[in-house]
Amino acid sequence: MGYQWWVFLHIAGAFVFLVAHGVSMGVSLQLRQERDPRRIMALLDVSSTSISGLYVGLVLLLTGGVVAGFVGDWWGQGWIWVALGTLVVVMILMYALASNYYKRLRLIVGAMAEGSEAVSEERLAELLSGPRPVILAVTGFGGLLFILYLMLFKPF
Amino acid sequence: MGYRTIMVGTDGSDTAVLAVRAVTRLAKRFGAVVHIVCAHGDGVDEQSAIEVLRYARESVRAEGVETKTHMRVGPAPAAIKELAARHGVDLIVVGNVGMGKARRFKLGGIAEQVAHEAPCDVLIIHTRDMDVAPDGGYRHLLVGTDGSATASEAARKGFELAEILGADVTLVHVGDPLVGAVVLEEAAKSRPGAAAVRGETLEGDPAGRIVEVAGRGEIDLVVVGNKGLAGTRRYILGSVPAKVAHESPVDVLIAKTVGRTVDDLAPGHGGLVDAGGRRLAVYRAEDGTITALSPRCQHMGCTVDWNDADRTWDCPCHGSRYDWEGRVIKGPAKRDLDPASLPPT
Repeated sequence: MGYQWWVFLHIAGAFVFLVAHGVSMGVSLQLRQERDPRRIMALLDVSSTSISGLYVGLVLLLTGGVVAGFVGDWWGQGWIWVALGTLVVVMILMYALASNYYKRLRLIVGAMAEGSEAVSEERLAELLSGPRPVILAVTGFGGLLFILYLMLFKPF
Repeated sequence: MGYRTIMVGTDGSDTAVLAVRAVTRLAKRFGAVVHIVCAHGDGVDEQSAIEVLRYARESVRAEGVETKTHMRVGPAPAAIKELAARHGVDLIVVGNVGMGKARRFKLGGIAEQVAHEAPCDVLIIHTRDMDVAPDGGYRHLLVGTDGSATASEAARKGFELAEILGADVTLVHVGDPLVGAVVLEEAAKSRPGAAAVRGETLEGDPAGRIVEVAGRGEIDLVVVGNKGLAGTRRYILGSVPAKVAHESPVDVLIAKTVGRTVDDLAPGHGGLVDAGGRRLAVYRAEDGTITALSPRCQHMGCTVDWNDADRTWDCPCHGSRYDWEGRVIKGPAKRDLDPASLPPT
């Protein structure tokens, strides 16, 4: 398979990744405006459903990118290593920032949707309007923009 | 509560005598048989062991409790563990001597060795201050929970114990206050019986906070699960039950919630169990019927765990839920849990 096809696979994987993960990002930002536990649970479920697409996209873009790196003889240059490193760091960072936050949110709104009054609406509103979703969006989007810059301009 | 067979180790020391007294009192409440073990050859000679056993047996029988005695040559912890497994013991009682802070990482004390590898629940009797030891008559229980399935199992045992003893329960969650509020509410909701319950959410080191609450003078028994008590991790990080057992100013019940087998499941409850070298999600119905499932969530392959409040298998990763038979009741999973078969016994 030629170089162009591996790049094609890489970009197609990136599309799948962005479409799937875009759902989660959209949900996380929308949640800041929501206060109804049932709607919040429904949105979290939509986000969870898109997770499998995210992993499929990730596998495709990594496979395409790594092989294209060999076929195109890019592994001797710095930018591809930095791009790969950035992807790994962003993934670890986003997992650390997101997993506990959403697990916590899911537990709280799940209980509230079933009638729990353990957490007040004010405390839920405080949690939802916190900066975490924005930090996540900036980290993820910023990381991807930096990788795109490295791929296009190959500065080193 | 299934404490039908209780084992206590004695070497005739003050701490062991207190443990035997506590066992006697508990056995009377539960209608349990008491197995008394004395190991000789390690500081206790054979003649002394015979005397110690005779004295212990008579003191227990004097209270009308059925008693069996066992004498073994060799280390006491090994003898207790071996006999407990052989006689289907469901509670081992030991004194806490030798479990101070400085000895946390040593395997010296009998209590420590038994607690780390016991095949059942372990009650550690606090014997440092003989004058205030409650002697098995617990009125105020503290149950530590983090909302996990293993902690819920410890809470269930604590509630059942409280019900039998007529005690009240203080539920303590250490961690995020919002999560704590939900966890405490759910734990209290799922309690069997009508034991009085109050909750407390705290932040900081879980073991430290539990010990702090236990030290306020109202609590006479702390109940924790055994998660993290076995394996190499405890040597590096310690674990909540180990730290609580070492530092608690009152008695500690370490409920076996990890490393359970199908036999450990109470009717109407489920849990992850070890079966023939595999981990399975197993539910035991009220009539004793067993349903075994693969614990692998059909969405992304995370391990589901038992939710005692709703009687469901819940996936902690993305919130999929399955009923006790493994049927999907909430996505994102689309397929039921795979059935599994238990190895022949």
